[in-house]
This record gives sequence, structure tokens and C-alpha cells, in this order.
Amino acid sequence: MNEPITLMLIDDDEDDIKLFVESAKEVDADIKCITAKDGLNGLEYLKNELNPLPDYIFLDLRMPKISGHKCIEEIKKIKRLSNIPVFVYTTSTDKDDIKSLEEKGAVMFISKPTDPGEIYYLLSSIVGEKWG
Amino acid sequence: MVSARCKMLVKSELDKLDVGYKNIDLGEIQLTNELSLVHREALNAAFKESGLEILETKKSILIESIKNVIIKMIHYSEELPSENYSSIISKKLNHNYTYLANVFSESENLTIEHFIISHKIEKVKELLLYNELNITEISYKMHYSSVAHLSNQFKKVTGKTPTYFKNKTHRRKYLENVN
Repeated sequence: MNEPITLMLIDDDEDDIKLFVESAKEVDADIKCITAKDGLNGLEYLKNELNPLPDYIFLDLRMPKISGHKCIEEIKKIKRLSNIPVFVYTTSTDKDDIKSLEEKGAVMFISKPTDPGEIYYLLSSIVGEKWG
Repeated sequence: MVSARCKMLVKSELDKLDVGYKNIDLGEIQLTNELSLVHREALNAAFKESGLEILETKKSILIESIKNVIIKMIHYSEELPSENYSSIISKKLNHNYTYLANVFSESENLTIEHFIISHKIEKVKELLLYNELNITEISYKMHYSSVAHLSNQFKKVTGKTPTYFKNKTHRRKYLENVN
């Protein structure tokens, strides 16, 4: 069986981070979660070659310092990061956002569920599939 | 109309009313001629008794199509596709996945992912009852990242562990009742 999976969430909302991590642990207690409180913090982690890379990146859009849009552009510019599937994880349902982020390389645009219980089903479906 | 049993039922009702058709597939019937009002009402009444209905709006047809793509992918394919589910659903229905996911969750009050998981677990139940594969082999076949991933999901959906389910034979659900 495969190595334990590592998920990275870049999101400035502490409640969303907590729900995400709890849901990931419910999917499989061995899943590792890396969290970053904004785009700048997330990029600093990812650019440091000493840090282990995540298998999947979940990226909020509306964040201080560096937006999700800028963040995905930066991730896709760096060769060692460019193949990591990036899921946009946001409350936005703006069609222009969806189109622009898919063009920038996001594999999937996920609307944050209104029912927190659905986060489990999202993560549990994504893990194990082939993306990118 | 999500199972072979439903297809047979639809065929039987069409034959009874002598309504011509070219093809009957999951969720879709191609009729030879346009349905008369009398036949439409008679079919609707017959289908209603069996928990089926004729869909009228584009949105309800789209949602039924999403469900049928998922059901075919999980229950009627020898192997799960290597491509991820969002690409498959999006390509088959020729719509952006985010649009489909939003339409589905607004109408059904659950996400596409929730629907997929419910059907995957139903398939896992079938594989457990066949007793040909062990749990590790089932988790690999059904694209789980680990046995724990499968076991946790199974327990989340059914309230029981796969081992408990296997040892106590349980009745499986009809596919149209899985959600």
C-alpha cells in the first residue's frame, strides 16, 4: 500500500483549517496535514527545499498578503512544485475565478460546503484518485 | 432508472402500451415517435407505482445524467477508470465540473462526492459478500489510498466495520435507494 498522504491547506480562516484537519484525520488518521495561514506563509514553506512536499495543495482564494490567484501562479512557476495537484478551496462561485484558476493549472475548484460534514466526503473522494 | 431491473420494468410498461422505442439505457429512453398525452399520463402513472418518473426539466435531466455516469463508472465497469471522477463526469456531460457540482448539491442537498462514496461503499459491500478479494485487494481495486481509508469510509457510511459486515450477512440496497 502507498505511503501516508500529505495534504497542505493554505487558508487564512482558522475555523476552516480546523474543520479541514479534523476531516482529513477522519478519512485516515495517518494523513499528514500542513497548514499555512496565508499565501506568503504557504509559498515560504513550499519554496524551502528542506521541507517535505505535500501530495495535494488546497488553496483559499481571498487571503491577505498574497492572493490564491498569485499563489497558484508562483507554485506552477517552480518545477519541483508544478506537478502537485492544486485544488482551489473557496466560498467563491465566480465563473471568471473558476475559468482563470483552471487556466492557471488548478485541477478542481471546490466550493467550501455549507454543511461542514460534507468536507469529509470531499477529502475522502479526492484522496486515492489520480490528479494532474 | 439506475439498474437493470428498472430497465426491464420500463421496457415492460412501454410494451404494454405498445409505445415504440429505439433504445433503453440507464436514465434515458429513445422513442420512435413523440409520446402522446394519453401515453405520457399512463406511463407516468405506471412508473410512479415503481418509484420512477419521467423527467421534464433540463436541470433534473442533468442531475439524473450525473448519477448515471457515476453508477455506470462504479457498478457497471470491470475496473474503476484511471482518470479522476471529475474529469470523467465533466467530459461525459460536456460541462465544467464546478458547474455540475453546484447544480447537483443545490438540488440534492449533498455533494457529488457524497453520492460517489455512497455508491463506492455499496460496491465494496458487494465485493465483501462475493468473498473473492480480501480487504486490502478491495481497497486497491476501488482506488482507496489505504485499508484505513476504506475502513473509515465504510464505517462512516454504514456505521459498521467491513469485517463486521462481512461476518454478519447484510441485505444490500437497490441502487436507486443509495444516496
